[in-house]
Amino acid sequence: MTRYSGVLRTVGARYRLPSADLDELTQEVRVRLWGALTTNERIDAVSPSYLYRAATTAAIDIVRRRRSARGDSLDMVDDAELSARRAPPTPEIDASLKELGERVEQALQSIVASRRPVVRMYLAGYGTAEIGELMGWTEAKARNLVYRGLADLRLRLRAMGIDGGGDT
Amino acid sequence: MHSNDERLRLAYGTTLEGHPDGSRPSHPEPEALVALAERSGSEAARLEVLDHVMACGECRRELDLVRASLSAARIPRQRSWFRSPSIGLMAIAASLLIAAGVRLLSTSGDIETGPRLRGGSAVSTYPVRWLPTGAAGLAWRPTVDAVGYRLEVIDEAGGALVDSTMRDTSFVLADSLANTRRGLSWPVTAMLGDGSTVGSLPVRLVRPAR
Repeated sequence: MTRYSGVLRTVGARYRLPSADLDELTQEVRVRLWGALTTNERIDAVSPSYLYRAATTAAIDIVRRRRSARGDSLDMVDDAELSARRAPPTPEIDASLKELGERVEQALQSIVASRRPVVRMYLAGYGTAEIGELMGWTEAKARNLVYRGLADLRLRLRAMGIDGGGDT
Repeated sequence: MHSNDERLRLAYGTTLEGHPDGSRPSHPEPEALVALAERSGSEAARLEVLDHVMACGECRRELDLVRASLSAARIPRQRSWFRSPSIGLMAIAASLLIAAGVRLLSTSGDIETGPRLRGGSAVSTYPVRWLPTGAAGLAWRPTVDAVGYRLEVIDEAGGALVDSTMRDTSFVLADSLANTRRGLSWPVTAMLGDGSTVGSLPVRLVRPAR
């Protein structure tokens, strides 16, 4: 459990998880192990496969719980979170970005379906190495798909009258 | 309007945060997020899930949570290079090399080649000196309080070719004995004044290759 908690801190930082999420996850796994194994000795000797199952079900339950909470008070939670995350308001830039964002979303709808999720992931801030890791591809394959997908996207944006040039 | 990658990312970010949940298709089940993180199921199905996840801020954060949890608990996999056939052959070759080295070490003590003094027991023997005639000169260090020495030269079957008691600390084993029998060894026992005895380790008698 201690090892899991320590590794989770490291991995969590890589996935940009807030510490509150890590605490919740650690606590959820700990509660499961305590409930099933009851003693420190047995928890310390837990098999990796058992720990993996506990970590999996803990994550699933947290996701369900959050969705349920969002469903109960959707507007209040989302508004509070979004206002906290957003950068200070700069009306001109904000409007310009929003407009471009809507066009990008429209353009994405028309590119090849197999490339779209990869381009979305790249635009969401993930690197090609992480895309490859998630999909089980080499970094070169992920980079190639991102490159082609972005080229498709720029073509569509140009067709909409938006200069989609720039670097990849 | 000009847009490089960074600007495209910023613009895309506004779409992730700006959509209330209701404007997206239904979210994938948490198990689908686990399947995506575990790379289980078909690639097409995972890409479909990924397409939603990367267009939905909440699902993206949930996927990161699932990935972090599974990564932290992941069972260490056996390294693929260890299972590679070439590495396996190299491991076998290394094992054979080690076995040969151990064998060499265990037998090298039998060959009398250097000016070593054998010790570790009460009677220390000198390395065998092979004479030009083919005879073997056997010698040992004098032992304190020894009144005599018993030298035995024993063949492979345990028969004694030589069993002599002497006061001297050397002996010349005739060519006819030293070179016609295999697996000879020679222990020396010192007989002390108080009636007790101490012995040497039996040393194999091997003529060095020319």
